Amino acid sequence: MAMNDDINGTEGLRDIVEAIRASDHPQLDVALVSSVLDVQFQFAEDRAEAEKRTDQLISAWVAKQVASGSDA
Amino acid sequence: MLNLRNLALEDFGPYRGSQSIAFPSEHGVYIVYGPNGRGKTTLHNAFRYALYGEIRGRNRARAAREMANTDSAKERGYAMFKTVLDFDADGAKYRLTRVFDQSKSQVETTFLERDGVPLSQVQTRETLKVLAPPSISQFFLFDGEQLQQYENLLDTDSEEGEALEKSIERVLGIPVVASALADVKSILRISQRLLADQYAANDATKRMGVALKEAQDLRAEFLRSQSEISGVISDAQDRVVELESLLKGQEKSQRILGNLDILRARTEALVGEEKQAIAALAEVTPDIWKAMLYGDVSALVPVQEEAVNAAQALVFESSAAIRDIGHLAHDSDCPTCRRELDAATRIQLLERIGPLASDAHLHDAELGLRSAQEQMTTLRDLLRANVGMIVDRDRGLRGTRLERRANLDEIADLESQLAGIDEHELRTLAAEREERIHQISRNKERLEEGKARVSEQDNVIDGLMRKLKAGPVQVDSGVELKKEVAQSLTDLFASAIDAYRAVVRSRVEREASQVFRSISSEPDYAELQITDRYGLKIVDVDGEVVENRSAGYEHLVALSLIAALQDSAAVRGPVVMDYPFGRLDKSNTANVVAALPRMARQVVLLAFDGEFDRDEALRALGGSLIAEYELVRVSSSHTEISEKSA
Repeated sequence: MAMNDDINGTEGLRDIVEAIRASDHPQLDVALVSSVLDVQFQFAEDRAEAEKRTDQLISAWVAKQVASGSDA
Repeated sequence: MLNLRNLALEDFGPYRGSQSIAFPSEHGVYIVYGPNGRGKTTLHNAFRYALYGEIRGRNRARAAREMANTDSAKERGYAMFKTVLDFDADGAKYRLTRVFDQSKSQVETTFLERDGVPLSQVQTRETLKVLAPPSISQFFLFDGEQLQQYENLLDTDSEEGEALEKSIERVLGIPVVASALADVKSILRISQRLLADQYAANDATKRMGVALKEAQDLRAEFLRSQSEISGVISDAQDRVVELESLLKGQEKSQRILGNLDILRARTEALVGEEKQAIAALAEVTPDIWKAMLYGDVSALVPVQEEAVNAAQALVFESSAAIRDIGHLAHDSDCPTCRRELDAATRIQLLERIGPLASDAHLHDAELGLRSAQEQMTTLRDLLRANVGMIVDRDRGLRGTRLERRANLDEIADLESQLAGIDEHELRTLAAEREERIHQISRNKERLEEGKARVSEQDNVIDGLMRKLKAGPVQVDSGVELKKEVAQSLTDLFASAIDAYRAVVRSRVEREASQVFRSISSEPDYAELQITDRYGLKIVDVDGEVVENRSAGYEHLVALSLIAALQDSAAVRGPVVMDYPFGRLDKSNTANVVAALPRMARQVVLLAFDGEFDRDEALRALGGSLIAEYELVRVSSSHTEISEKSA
């Protein structure tokens, strides 16, 4: 019953998120969105860990942007 | 993807000693044959216990200790059993061992090894949560007797349906996006708070910054309250599902109890009605005994009329006698014919009317007349109205008594049907279910009210943030950027949830329709149509929704949904089916057997001999049938699992 990362369900979900990102939020980093989804899949049964890691991902991404002087 | 490799049992139910069942291929169908009472449902429970550490009975929750083999437990003097499940997942080999041992201080222990390396208890828990989430176990370990729960998906008011809908969304991976949304929202709020702190710390924006913080505090409080209410609703829904499971199989007893309640209430009311009827009858006439005694009153009236006439005649006679005596005292002629009377006749006349001419006689005659007239009045009253009323009221009283007696007989009959049923427990469970459903409904109303309050605060916060951002004060660019990114992610995931739901619904509908067409033997049924709640309606070749589906077709629809969920699932695994053909005829059963390979990559079917045509099944399944096992009786408490010979 393990989460699948190679089947229609998951891929379909990723495709949909990416399609909306590309059309409505092109400024959002593709890799960041994908990483957030990875964490959510990996810790689907551990909400606290998923939230913590999502926060870490976004913070790290922001720190990198600020350090490089870019705004997303 | 989880693939079964081997399940080893030790003293689990009738599986005495060490026994195992192997699953050499990760694709295909495995069939376990066993007659009734040989341990198919226990084997189903062995899979459940091995994966989730849970035991379930058909009609009630079961304690784990009940699963210990009785002979072994007697020999040991305590209950002990073990399951060892070997499986593959995500490229790793796992061995999950669960031991129940009443002689140990820790009665139940669980060990998980990954590629031969034991994991810590924390790692074990976390890994199992991901590999085998209990919240969706019903899609992998399903019991044909529970398939009717899928009918609840078509009932928009059903709490069971709502709980099942959540499980379906879970297996489809929708909570992944929902969780992502919740997490980025939380990060957004924290970023907004940090910005509010910075604005509040600056003299130029202090007032607005403080107002922003207050609005954020208020929203946080509303959200906390919303979260609490959601938790209460979720717990209550889980409990309703549990109660439904406990009440399952007791529908007849519940119906009897319902009828008993109605009858008892009616009988109690009849006691009151009977008292009222007696009082009403007594009120009609205290002479009711007369009506009863005389029988047909109308026959008495002419007799009584004669009596009145006779009494009247006596009065007349007495009055006439007094008048005649007075006449004879002064005159010599006859008082009637006025002829002169001789002395002898006069004496004779006086002797005859003398006794009648006294006041006392007249008084007696008058009393007799009055009495006769009163009796006549009573009879006429009885005749005119009272008798009818008495008869009506008497009939009413008798009817009330008859109904009460019939009710008491029926109550006794229903009570005898309930013999052996714990009426109190059944009532308690049913009452709790009703109360929980009511509670859920109230809390959903509160949630809606709360949403409006949160939305109002969101608008206030957005307005203040816009004003502050347009102002001269510069805040930490990192925090500002984090807030912007979190906001964009929030908008993205919010849109993705609805879009993904629409896509998976459409995919489930398509796949379920395909499976349904392959297992249904009714050519007029063209496809299935999915509802917002993942309920499936049958649509015929004319495009009309089929109402009043048979139990067998409900069953086929449920199986189609399960197969479609497996196909579209973000979480996949083997399917272990117990009692899957219960409501199906021979033709549909054969269709389902042939469609088993579509249900999941690995399918384990628990069936009894003769439940389907084995030769036909072997032909239909072909190479998809990997192995057949049979449950062989050694004794009433000992079953052996063995490979079935061709």
